[in-house]
Amino acid sequence: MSQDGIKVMVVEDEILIGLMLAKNLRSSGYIVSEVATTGEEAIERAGLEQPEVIMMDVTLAGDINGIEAARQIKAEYGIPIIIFSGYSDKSFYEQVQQVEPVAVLSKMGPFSDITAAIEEAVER
Amino acid sequence: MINKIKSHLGVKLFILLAIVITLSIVPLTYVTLRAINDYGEKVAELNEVQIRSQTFSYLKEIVRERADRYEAVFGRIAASAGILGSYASAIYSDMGNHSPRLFDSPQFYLLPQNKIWAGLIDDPVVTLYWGAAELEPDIKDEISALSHMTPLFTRILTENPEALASHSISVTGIGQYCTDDLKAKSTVFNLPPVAEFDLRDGEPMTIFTKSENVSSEVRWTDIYKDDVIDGLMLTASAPVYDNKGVFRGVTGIDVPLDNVIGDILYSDKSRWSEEVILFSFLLDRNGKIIAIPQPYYSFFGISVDKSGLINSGDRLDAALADSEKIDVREFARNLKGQENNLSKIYHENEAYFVVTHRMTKSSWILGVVVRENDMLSSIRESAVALKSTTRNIQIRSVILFLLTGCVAIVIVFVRVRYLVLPLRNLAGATERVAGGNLFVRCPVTTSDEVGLLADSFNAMVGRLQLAQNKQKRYAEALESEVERRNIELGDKKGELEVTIQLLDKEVERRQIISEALKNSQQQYYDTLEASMAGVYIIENGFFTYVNSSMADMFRATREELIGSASGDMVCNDDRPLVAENTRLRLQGHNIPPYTIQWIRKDGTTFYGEVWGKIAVWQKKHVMVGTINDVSSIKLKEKLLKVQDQRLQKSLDEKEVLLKEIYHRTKNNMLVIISLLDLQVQDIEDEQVRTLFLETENRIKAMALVHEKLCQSQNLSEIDLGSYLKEIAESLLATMVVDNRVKLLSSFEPVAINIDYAVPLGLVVNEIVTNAVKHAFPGNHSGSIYLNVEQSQEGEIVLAIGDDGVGLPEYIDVQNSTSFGMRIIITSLVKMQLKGTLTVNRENGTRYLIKFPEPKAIKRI
Repeated sequence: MSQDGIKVMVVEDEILIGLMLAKNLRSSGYIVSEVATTGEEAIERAGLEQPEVIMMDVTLAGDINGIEAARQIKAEYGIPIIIFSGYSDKSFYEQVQQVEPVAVLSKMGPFSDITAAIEEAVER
Repeated sequence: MINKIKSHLGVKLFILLAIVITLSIVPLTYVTLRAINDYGEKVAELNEVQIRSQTFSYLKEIVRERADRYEAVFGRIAASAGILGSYASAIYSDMGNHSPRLFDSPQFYLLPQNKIWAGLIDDPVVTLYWGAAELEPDIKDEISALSHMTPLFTRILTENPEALASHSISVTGIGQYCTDDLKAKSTVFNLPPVAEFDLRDGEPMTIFTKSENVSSEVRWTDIYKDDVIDGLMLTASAPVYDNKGVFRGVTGIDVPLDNVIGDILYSDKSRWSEEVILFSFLLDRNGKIIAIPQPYYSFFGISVDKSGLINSGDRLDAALADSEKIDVREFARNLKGQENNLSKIYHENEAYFVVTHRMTKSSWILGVVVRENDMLSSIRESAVALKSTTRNIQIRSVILFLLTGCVAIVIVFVRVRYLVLPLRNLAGATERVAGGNLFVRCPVTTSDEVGLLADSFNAMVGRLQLAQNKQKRYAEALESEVERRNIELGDKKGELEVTIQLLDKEVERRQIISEALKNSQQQYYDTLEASMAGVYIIENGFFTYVNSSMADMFRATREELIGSASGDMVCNDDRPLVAENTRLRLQGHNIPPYTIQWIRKDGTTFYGEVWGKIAVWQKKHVMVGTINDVSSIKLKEKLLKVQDQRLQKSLDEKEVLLKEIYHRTKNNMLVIISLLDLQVQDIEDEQVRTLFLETENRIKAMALVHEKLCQSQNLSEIDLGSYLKEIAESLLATMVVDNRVKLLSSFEPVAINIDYAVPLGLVVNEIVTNAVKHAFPGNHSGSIYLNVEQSQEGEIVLAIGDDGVGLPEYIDVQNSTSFGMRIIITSLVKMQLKGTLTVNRENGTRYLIKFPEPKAIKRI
């Protein structure tokens, strides 16, 4: 399934994981720019690049975490956010609900979950 | 006397009944007399009211009747006066026809004593002229005309016997006077000279001449002193007008008051049938007095000087309204406009009733006066008569009651005597029997209870007699029996001595037992004393026994503790608990030992574990129990709790760390997967690429264990089924593009640790990878199934398979040289899991892996 033209931004502090995700997305037809590794970078580039969806990790390298970055981006640009994380406990879910994400996905989950979430985000 | 009464039942009974009868009759008599008296008083009261009412109504009727009578007389006289007037008017209206009668001048002469012209005394009507010194012709004509009235004058007097005279007086000074009274007639000749008194100024004339009223009706004069007779006079006057309406004089009828209302004036009771009336009086319409008996002027508070009444111009001018007395004036005011009136007037401290009636035509008022006492005398007489009747009835009632009482007492006396006599006989017989005479019998004279008693007494005495005989025989038999028993007793005595010896031995044995018991009790107390635990006995909330340990525990002597309230030794906070437990124990519940804080004698506290039981101690319900000082244990518990908390904190920290480690491990594995994934894009050799991708999946299977561990409750075990299912799903999602291969899974919950989870994950990874790669060639569709269950023996059974083309026959799974198969069977299943693997090749391929229940492996 090819999704030509949909601009996706990947925010991931583990650069290798970010690169793998970007590669897989690109191979599925999405337009993915360079992986952002800090919250600050994500906010700045979201304004410049105006992606249609942002895949956001929670644990980031900078001063602000992924939830805060997602909150600011959503408030400023209204870009839909997909939370992409390795955590999965209850308190984590409660925290991420603040930014009303399109989906909360596990990094271990199947790739099809990711493409489905992006489609849902774009349709909104 | 009193002793006699006390000893005689009959006398007592008689006195009692006599008292009862007397007590019944006396109140009855009293009530009856009282009722008669009240009745008499009530009747007298009603009688008085009735008599009063009747008397007043009677008086009113009398007054009315008499007023009617007077009115008839006065009416008749007034009518006659009217006829006279009418006739005179007719004469004056037609003087021409009446005057021709020849005037007989020689019969007219001038009276020397008073210079008045007068006719002859023998004429039935005396004619006088005093209008002038000479008889002028027109006067003569007038006299001549008026002489026609003579027959009428005489006729009038005949018709009105009460009248003294009938007369006429003309304005010209001619007077005609007709009377049968010679004295009166002669008096006419001796009238005073005109200069002293002119008859035209008299009351009969002036009531018209001085009045503005020109009506021609007859008027009654006020009472005046007549010129011709002694006494007061009243005149009915009629005016005489000629046909031109000119007033020419008056005609009148003189009525001496004595003749009409003499009965009033002189209180002539002989003319009154009603003795009760004191006097009567007559008033005119304005309340002026017409007639009141002379002696009663003072009654109305009026003083009249009768000496001033000389000529007919002198009128009696007095009215009740001018009375000196207030109540009379009030009475006079009340009379106005009333037809009847009843008033009460006091005179000289005595009350009088005045009853009046106003006459219909003249509006004159006739009144009668009655002395209240006279009127009430009949009431009093009636009351006295009634009282005497009442008294008679009362006396008769008393006599009747006394007679009834006496008869009742006599009857009682006779009946009591009749009743008591048989009893006295019986009493006498009883006395004789008591004296030992059993031959006495009591005569039975009545058939009532007393007769029955006498009969029973006779029967009883008869039986006593029989019993006495029997007793005599029995006594004889008893004597012989006693003799026989004495002999037997001699024998028994020997036996008794032997028994006493045995008893002595028993007493000795019991003493030994008692001693032993005492020793046992001492031992028991010693045991209690030796106990480390505090032993207590509580009775009614107070200690009655404590052992030394208990005293030491409370840092007090035993004597200090015994007698003190157990509740005071418990800390305030624990008192409700102790009270509740004590209540439950009393209800029979078994309360296990519990720990509370106790207060020592010195005020310090300690933790003591208390236990108690309700028991009977020296026949009383008491609480027996023990107290153990557990302060040191409590202290240790506290320390342990602190340690526990520290440990828990440490554990929590460790758990966080462990989670983080699992997370980081998983993340690192993801990084490795990413590394491999990124690297694979530069590799062109398909075999190497496959190798890389398979390696990625194997690492992913291991990473998934860490994720599951992160999510698990205890951080050491995960659910095997859901873990393996997730691996299979992930593989299918990655390797099968169009969902042609489905996963069917079923599993029981089986908890498994990381040591077993990783190898099993790798095994499933290999088998599913193989199935996807080889079982469904040429885009065949099918299913992969996965089952996890645990047998009752604890063995875990894992079945994985597919419904694909099946494993080719040439492949020997047990001895495969393939890296994947070698890993599965040799390394993982056999060596690491210590399990077995069997392969079934029917309907696809089915791997059955069994291994024993995992045991925790000690790492350190």
